[in-house]
Amino acid sequence: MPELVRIWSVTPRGVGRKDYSKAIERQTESVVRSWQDDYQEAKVMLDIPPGSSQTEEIDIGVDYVVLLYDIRLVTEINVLIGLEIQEQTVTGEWTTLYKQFGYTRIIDKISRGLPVFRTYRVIAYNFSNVPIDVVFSASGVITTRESYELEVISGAS
Amino acid sequence: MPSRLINFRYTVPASKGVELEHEIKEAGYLADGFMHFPDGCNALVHVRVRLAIRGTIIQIAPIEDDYIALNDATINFRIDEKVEVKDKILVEIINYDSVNPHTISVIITWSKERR
Repeated sequence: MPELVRIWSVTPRGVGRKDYSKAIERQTESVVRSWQDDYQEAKVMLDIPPGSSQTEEIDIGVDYVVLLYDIRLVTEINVLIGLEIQEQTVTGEWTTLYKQFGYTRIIDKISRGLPVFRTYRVIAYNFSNVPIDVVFSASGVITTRESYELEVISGAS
Repeated sequence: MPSRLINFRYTVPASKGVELEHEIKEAGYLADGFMHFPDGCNALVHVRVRLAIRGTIIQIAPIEDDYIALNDATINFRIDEKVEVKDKILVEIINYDSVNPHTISVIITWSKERR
């Protein structure tokens, strides 16, 4: 009979299933199937003073919703920068949806999408002691509010 | 023609690697082999078969320094190697599944004469 001569630990690479178990997998659809289109946005913010920030408001229309999947903020020098995305509520207040910090660049993929309505604000922070220029860019899908509520919200419940 | 099946069957715990060894008791030929990956492995269990022939280790399945990882599959492979007493068959099974143990079977056919 063969003998066990060696046993060691390894770093796992994933999760399988119990041997011969049935594959029961649940899938949710995050893609909106009604009207939708690609959404791209880019803003250049020049000469942000040291220890300060600059805000850009981006209007996407009253009846539209944007799902942001890729977000990036990039500068040219190795300094600490921050990115905040705010959304305006129906009462007119601004609430923070997203906040992240990084050196030189902030690159983020949001797999489920970050939904923003009507107008959103992009705030770029400069934590260095020199003025900097930054480029904000985002991509995702744009859809109507009606489609979003029908497909995403009711579909997820 | 006398032949025997040498069975390497082992349930490898999650996140562990094992090496099984069988010493040849009688000179002959290793004709071919099978390995079976149960459904559930999801290509997370890596297997290779090597021979230690007169002190030299050679890998026979797959070739080179690599492993086979499948799901719900049985494969056979041709070996066709002459073996002497005290040569060894080495089967290495590495389970990269972080949760589930998996039972892998590797069967090697030994025969007295070349087939």
